[in-house]
Amino acid sequence: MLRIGHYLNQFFAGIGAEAHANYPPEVREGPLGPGRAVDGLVKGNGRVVSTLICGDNFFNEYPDDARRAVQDWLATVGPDLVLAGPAFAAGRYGSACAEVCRLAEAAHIPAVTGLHPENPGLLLYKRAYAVPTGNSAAGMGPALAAMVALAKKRVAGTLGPAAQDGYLPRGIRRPGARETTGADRAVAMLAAKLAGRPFQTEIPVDKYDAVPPAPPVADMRHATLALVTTGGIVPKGNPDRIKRCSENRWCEYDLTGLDALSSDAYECVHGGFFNLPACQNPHLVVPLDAMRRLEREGAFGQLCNVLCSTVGNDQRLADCQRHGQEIGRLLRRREVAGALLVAT
Amino acid sequence: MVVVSALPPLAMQAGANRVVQGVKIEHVCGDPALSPSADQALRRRLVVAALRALETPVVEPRLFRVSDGGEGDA
Amino acid sequence: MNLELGTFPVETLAFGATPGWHQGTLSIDPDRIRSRVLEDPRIRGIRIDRVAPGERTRIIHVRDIIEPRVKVSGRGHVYPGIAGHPPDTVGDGVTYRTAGFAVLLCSEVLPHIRRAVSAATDSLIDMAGPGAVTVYSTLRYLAVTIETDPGLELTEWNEALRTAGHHVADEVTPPERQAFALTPAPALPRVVHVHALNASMVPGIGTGIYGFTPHALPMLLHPNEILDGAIAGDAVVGYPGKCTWLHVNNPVLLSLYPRHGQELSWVGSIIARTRWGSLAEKQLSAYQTAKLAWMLEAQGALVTWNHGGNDLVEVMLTIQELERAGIRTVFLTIESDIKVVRLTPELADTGSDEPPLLFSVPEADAIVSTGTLAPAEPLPAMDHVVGGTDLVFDQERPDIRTPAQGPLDLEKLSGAYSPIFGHFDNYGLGVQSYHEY
Repeated sequence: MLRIGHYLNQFFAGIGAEAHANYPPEVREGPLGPGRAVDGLVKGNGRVVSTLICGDNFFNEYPDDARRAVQDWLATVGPDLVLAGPAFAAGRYGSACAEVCRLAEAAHIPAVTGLHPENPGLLLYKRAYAVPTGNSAAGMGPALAAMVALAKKRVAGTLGPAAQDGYLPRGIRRPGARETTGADRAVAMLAAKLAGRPFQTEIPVDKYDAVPPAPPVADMRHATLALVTTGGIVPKGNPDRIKRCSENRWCEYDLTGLDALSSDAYECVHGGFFNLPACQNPHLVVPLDAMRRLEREGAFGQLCNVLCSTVGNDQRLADCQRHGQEIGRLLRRREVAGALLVAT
Repeated sequence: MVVVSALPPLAMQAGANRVVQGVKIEHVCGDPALSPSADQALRRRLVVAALRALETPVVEPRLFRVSDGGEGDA
Repeated sequence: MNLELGTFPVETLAFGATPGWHQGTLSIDPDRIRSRVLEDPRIRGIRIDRVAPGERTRIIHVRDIIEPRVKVSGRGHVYPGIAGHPPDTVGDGVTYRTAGFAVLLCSEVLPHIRRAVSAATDSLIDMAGPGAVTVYSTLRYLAVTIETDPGLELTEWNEALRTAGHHVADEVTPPERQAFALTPAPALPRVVHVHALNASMVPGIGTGIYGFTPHALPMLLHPNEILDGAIAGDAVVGYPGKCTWLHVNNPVLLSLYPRHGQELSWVGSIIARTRWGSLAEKQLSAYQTAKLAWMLEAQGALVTWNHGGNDLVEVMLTIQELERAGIRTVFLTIESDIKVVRLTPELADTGSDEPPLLFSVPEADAIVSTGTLAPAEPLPAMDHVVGGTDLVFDQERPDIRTPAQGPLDLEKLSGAYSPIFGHFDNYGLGVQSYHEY
């Protein structure tokens, strides 16, 4: 018998509308509101044993209290499955549902929610198992049915890909076969696209996370600047044996007293482009000559005497992120205010 | 941080907020086909554009072009 | 252009004094082949092996794979413009080919070339076991291992090897005939095949069209020209399987052809070179490709590429330009940025959250993924090795050599970089893909 915990906001729990959005977390036994329909859908195999209610504003404004309430509820009730919402297009409710799902998964309890594909809650917790819904509660019936169907698959361990089992893609790709060859599928997809028939892309075009911009350098005349490159400029002979491709390290090279990077002392070991010009004149990648001249003229305070260098050719994203963090820490220690990253 | 890249669309899509347009993948910060002094002058303009970018407040990815003679941005 | 392709399936390969094909058995005279190849003073030695699929054989140092084809009637020579063949336009007449068989060219990269061209890595093909994941493990081969003059300069080395491979293929000649013609089909939607081909950043080598290798603005080929070998690989960069065999066996051509005249009207193949050095050049190539498609009055486009890093920028810009010109586009691609050397249980369970593509445009809304080809387990020891004895897994450490016959844990040896020849299924030969979870 599947013991289900259901999370609802103040409105769907029947407490009240916007005026009651500050409703503090409260646990009630059994199902409330749409939870009753869930009971009907799982009759014989499970039941909603407990409902956690929380006002959307409360969850948003007192996240630590809300989080604690969810964790206590999960620990006390010990459900086999958590359902959150559905929240449709409601942003605060969707964010709360996403957080409830995250906390449940962290406690090793499968959780399912229902969200409109553009609900901002999905940005908070990309890995949420969410069925796509319309933007209003008019779709409650189908949304609950879809949530229950998805939950059953999760509990049974038979969950397939997002496109097949009707949930929003969570950004995880796994190898798997398809019915026909890639070439045949491509021609078939083109025929469908031309005829105006629906088709399903196999790679959803993804966006990188936006990076909050650093504030501008306030006092350039006194600022320490640094040079960083993924262009693979290294001392001649490549003493650290930086790989031309698929490297997972970066190295520091001392620039103290150097006004120029001569081709006798430095070379380019990047394997992803024709690197002969850069070997003959390393400044084509690391503009040390121009930086030193501008430093002497007072255009900026001083140049940090460390060159951070790697080969940005076929590197894993996770390694790139780690390099960025490590180099950032080094430059912080050296009180660097701004950096030039030359990418090839 | 400012990224100097021959492929600004790639850098900006990856989240770089200050990007200076470099010359070519093989020689981002100059041009070996020019005379040494012209190449150095080009490199200087590029670095100056980068310094300008570092001093400019931005809210989202922004491309800073190296203009031909002066030191402005696009 | 009307091309009839006569196919001679090869089930057995025999050595004998009378060369020819008879009921599935291909007979080859190894002495004749040996003397033909050794005519070239740049070649010091040659070893000939027969390799069959399913054998516990590991082939290493693959430089190219060439399917023997011969023009029986019609203008020109197959694989035009290279290995001494004339550059006459091909694609008309009758061509015979073998099926399930190819000449496999092996030669260890010379040390100075390994230093100069870091992409000239050591590759391998396992004919059985967990490493037999590509189409190349399913073919029957006449494997020719060549030892060249060790002092050859890069383009001479490439030329010597490639010419040897094609001379061997020319020596091999071959009842199911298939006609290839793009008869006009005015009522059907017009579709163009956009065949983006990586051009080498090192001058004088790389994939060639009628032997022409440098970067160039897009041009139009009739698919029959491709079937007759107008696009051929080189003997230098073997690892991603940019080999000659793949071009004449391109499954996109074989998928489009039967639908021509039925569901669509195929108007041709635009060859767009990729890996330009500047953004302006990438944009120019993309704009001109879309313009050619538009002048052909294409309503749809099937875009493929053969991998690279920054190459994807111009491929995506091309897709964007095509869509903006009102041409509906589908993109067939590998998952270029999920680097998989072994299909580990972790990958199967938790999946990968690396972005599958380095760069994208919003207009690329119809993508077919050919995923990744990789073994699920470390490679076991094999009974035989063809093509050499050792493998170098780190181009920076050519002094570290691993015996090819023994077990190979590719993840430990190779890091993030698979040496399995042809592990990128660029044109969709197989059903493997990735799913979003």
